[in-house]
Amino acid sequence: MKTALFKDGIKEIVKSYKRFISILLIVLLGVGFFAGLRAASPDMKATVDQYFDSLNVMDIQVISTLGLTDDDVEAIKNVQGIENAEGSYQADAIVKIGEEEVVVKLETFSNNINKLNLVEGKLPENQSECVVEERFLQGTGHSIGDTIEIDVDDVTNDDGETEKLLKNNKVTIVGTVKSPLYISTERGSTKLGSGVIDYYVYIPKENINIDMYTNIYVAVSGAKDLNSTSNKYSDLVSEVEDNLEAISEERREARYNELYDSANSKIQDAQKELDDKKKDAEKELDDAQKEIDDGKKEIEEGKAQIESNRNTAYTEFANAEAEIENGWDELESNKQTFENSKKDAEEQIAEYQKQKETLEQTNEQLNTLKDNLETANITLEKLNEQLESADTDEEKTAIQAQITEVNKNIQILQATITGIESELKNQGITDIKATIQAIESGIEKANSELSDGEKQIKEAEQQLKDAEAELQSQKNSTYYQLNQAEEELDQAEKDLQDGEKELKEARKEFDEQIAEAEEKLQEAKDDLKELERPEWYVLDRDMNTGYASYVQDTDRVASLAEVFPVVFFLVAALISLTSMNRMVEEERVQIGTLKALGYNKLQISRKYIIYALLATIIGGIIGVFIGFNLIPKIIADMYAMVYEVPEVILQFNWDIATLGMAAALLCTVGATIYTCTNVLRHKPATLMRPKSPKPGKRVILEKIPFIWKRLSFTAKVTARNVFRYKKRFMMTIIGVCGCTSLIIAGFALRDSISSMIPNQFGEINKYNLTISLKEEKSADYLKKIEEEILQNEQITSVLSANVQSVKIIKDDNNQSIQLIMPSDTNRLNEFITLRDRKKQDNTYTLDNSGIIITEKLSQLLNIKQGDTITLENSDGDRREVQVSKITENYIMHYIYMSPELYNEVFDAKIESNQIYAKTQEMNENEEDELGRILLNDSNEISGVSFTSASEDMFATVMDNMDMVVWILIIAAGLLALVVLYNLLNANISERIRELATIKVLGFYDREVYSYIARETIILTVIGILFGLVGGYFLTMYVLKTCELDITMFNPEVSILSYVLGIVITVFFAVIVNVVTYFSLKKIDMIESLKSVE
Amino acid sequence: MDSATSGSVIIDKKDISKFKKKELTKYRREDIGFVFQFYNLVQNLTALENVELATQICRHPLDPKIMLEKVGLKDRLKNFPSQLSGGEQQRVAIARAIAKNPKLLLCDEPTGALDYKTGKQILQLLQDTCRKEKMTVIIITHNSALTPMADRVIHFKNGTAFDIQINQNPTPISQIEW
Repeated sequence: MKTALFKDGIKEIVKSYKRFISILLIVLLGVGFFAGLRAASPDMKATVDQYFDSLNVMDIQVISTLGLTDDDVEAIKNVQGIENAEGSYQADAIVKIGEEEVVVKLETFSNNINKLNLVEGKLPENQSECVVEERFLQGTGHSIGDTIEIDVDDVTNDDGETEKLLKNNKVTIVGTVKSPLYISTERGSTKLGSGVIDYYVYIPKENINIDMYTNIYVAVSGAKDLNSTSNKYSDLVSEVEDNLEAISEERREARYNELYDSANSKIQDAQKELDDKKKDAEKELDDAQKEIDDGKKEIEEGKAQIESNRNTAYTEFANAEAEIENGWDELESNKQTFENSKKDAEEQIAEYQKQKETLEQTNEQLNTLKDNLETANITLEKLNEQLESADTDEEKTAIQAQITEVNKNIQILQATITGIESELKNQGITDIKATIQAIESGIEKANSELSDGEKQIKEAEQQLKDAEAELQSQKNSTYYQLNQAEEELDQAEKDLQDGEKELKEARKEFDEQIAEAEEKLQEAKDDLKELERPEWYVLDRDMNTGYASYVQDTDRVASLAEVFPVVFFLVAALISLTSMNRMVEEERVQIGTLKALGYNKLQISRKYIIYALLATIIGGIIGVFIGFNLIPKIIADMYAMVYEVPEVILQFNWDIATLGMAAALLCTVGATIYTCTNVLRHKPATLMRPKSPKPGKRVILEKIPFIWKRLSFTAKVTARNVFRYKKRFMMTIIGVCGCTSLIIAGFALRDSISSMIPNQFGEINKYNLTISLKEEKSADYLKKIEEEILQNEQITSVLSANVQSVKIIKDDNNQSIQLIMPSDTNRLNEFITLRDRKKQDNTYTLDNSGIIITEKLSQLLNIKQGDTITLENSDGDRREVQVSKITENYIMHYIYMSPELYNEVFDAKIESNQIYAKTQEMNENEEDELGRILLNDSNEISGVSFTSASEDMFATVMDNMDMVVWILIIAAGLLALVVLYNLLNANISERIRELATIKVLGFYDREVYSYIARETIILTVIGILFGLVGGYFLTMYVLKTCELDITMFNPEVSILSYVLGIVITVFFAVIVNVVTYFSLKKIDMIESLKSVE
Repeated sequence: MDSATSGSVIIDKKDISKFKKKELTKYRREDIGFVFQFYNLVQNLTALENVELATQICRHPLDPKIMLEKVGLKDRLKNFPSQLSGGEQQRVAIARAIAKNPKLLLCDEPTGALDYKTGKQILQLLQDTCRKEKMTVIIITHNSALTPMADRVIHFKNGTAFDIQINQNPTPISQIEW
């Protein structure tokens, strides 16, 4: 009998294969989605665990605030439960690439713990080699074999001396690696450069110049065997962590003492040195002072000497002058005397002259008279001769007369001469000539006397003048000498003053130096006093940013498993319910017969239960396999954009498979048992009679006559039918709703994720290029740089800004965010759009009333417009500031603030360190070229990055997203097909008599079809309507769940997604309806109407 | 509903056995009224609506309400089939058939599922309709006791008609016993 029933069962399946496949498919979908989504997280976790195990990733790391030593490593190695421990050195450094500068995390690599995953090349073998991450090469344009220069801050060694950190700053890249410690793109923040670490670089330990570690990595024994996300693992690790904490006290104390002693002895040495120096310097200074004082005294004396000399000279000169004056006076009186005697002499001379003249006149007169006499004598002679010679008496008379006349005259003349000569004799003068000569000699004598006097006077005068000149010259020379001496003294004084000043300065300097040295010493002393006992941080893998966020993100996927499959399971239950119900009802006569024959309930039910079981198990197994293999891979691929982990390991997870299967079985078999129990309750006799058709019922609509009356007859019929079968109604609506929702969600997801990039890099960030400067620049300087940059034709406009890394302090949650402060807030919107996502026309302008933060940040930290938040800037200052607006943004978090507000809030002036630039359309080569030009042209530019690079990075998302959309559409389509087909199938088979009747009544095929289809259509429409709403919420849920902390998916469902959701659902509905049309056509009226008998 | 395997069916000078499916449907729709043994009412429709279901698709329907009044169901217009007795249901079925104003009323064992008394009432109704509405009524039955009430009796055996009788004076239904 068993075999007979079994055969019956198989036949049943073959006969109603469509129904069987319906159940199978819906179970496949439900279990597949459930298993796939559930498995994604464990698979991804297993992947990372295995990856970590293969690279011996540390289980615990110890960081000390004062560094760690080899002794610490040894001590840790001896701790119970520890397999291995190794020290490592980490530092932030700057690598210069041509003109560009990138900030890197420098770390020593090891072949024991935290091994590196070598991608290309080899690991460093000596201290002049290094390996970098792949992105380093892509980002910097370097290749293996290139040499880079690492610029890292010097370090203070244990003895307090400053030393170079690296032995070799120029290292050659010998390979690329993936570090398991950095599986996410996050590299951490730093005080260097822009505040963000760009890449990591691994160097060998030999290159580290100091004997100290920053971290000790610890491998826990037995931890490798455990999955690091498991509780067992965390229990094991936390036990070891406790052990480490236990020894940390002693180690910390040792480290403290070591450092304290070293510092203390140094301070003592320094103190001694200072004291010695102080003494020496003071002595030197005192000597100098003494010298100056002596010099001063000498000058004083010299001055006095000069003064006395000057006085002596003065007196002497005064005496000499007085003497000369006297000489002059005497000379004057002598002159006067001479003048008087000169006058007398001159008068005498004049007298002589008169006498002489008179004499001369007299002499002349005499002479004239004598001449005349002569002449008269001559004339007389002549006349005498003439007389003698006279011929005539007349003539002789005349001549005689004349001779008489002449004789008269001669007499007169002789008288006169005699008178004169007598007169002269009276006067004593005998010889006129001698007299004249005597007079002349008298005059001459007087004259010579006079000239002698004059000469004497002149000589005296000359003498005086000479004396005067001599005095003057003496005076001059004396005073000159004196002045000279004085000047010399002044110079000496001035020199002395300078010396004094110098000394003063030297003393001041000395004081300052001493003070400084003392202060330093004091500082060192204070530091020593404040030297805190080192703190140990014992951190496990969860504290590794990359690992922790990866684990967190995989957990999100797991929560998706709670939503998607629900729809499928629900529909599976409903479909099983209706299918089984129909099957059981169809065979009620047979069941009745079997019951009448004496089979018990279980035996009868078994066939149906097996039917459901088979469908579920086959569907479930296929579902599990598809789910396990497809979904985790897609999700892992999507995460691979952000995380550097190997290809996901697809596991067969029995727990999940069992759980999924159990849920499916609960739905299908549960529904079957429920149906069977319901039917088997009846007595065989009842069962053998046809089931009374479900009675008609009035529907709610009828109670509203207003509407009911207006409905056409067919509409009324449809309305009644729609409400008649509640299960079917629910099933269809849920199914169709699910279908539409899934399709909408699929397209909306794709839209959101794909629009993230164009939105962020097209609409929000309108700049194409960021140029980072080596240091902050003043506005004037910047202008110059900007002008320089603008000379490149491709660059159309620029805006400088200060960009720094800040934190928001809020309930322990401190997110690291970029703070952007544009130099010109009015132009910010040309480069970065600040706007309300929901009302995109509503753009914001940055003003001094508050900061503008990005949307995702506000969601993460639950900050609302108008809230006041605490900001910590890169210097660690914390200030409160108000959030004035929340702006649309999709990737990363940003805070926008006006420089004035920053100035006001942080009381610090900021200057730009970055320039945003807009460029013309450029291809990749042109961009590279421009970047090179910019870096070469200016020494101030440390880096250029084009936004196109970020765009490319996310471009791969699209392929994945298309895949997701297809899967969702296929799933949705299957869901819709299964549900609608089931509905129609049920409708037709259950209502075949009704359909046959109306066919008999003369309904055309078309009319019969629409009689049935109208219900399907209405239900589909209702389902779609629900689906539109459901799609929205499903999208929101999925977006929120899948979103990473640093990204925001645009939570908007476009009209197109809705339209596609409707269109595709309708498409599936149409397929089913076409099938229906033909099935309806095939209905045999006679058979159908007969079947009741 | 079915097609003839051999021979021909000629009604109104039309050979309906040669009709195509669509023509047949049209023919059923306009010229034929059906009454079934199991009434075949649409469960989800009230009595009135069941009649309306038929009338809405034909060209010259009679008023459904009047029809139901005529079959004596004036008070049950708004009842669902499940709220009606077998006879009442059959009367609805008849009303539905007649309301179409067909040329031919085909009744397949109309009393088969009814008790004696109700069956008689139904037969009476059919006969009245036939007389009053001048409608050809064909009753198909295994119950040969009914033959006296017919105007014409056609006997079938193994799917072929083998005898046609014409009753000159049909017996009134009230006198027929079975």
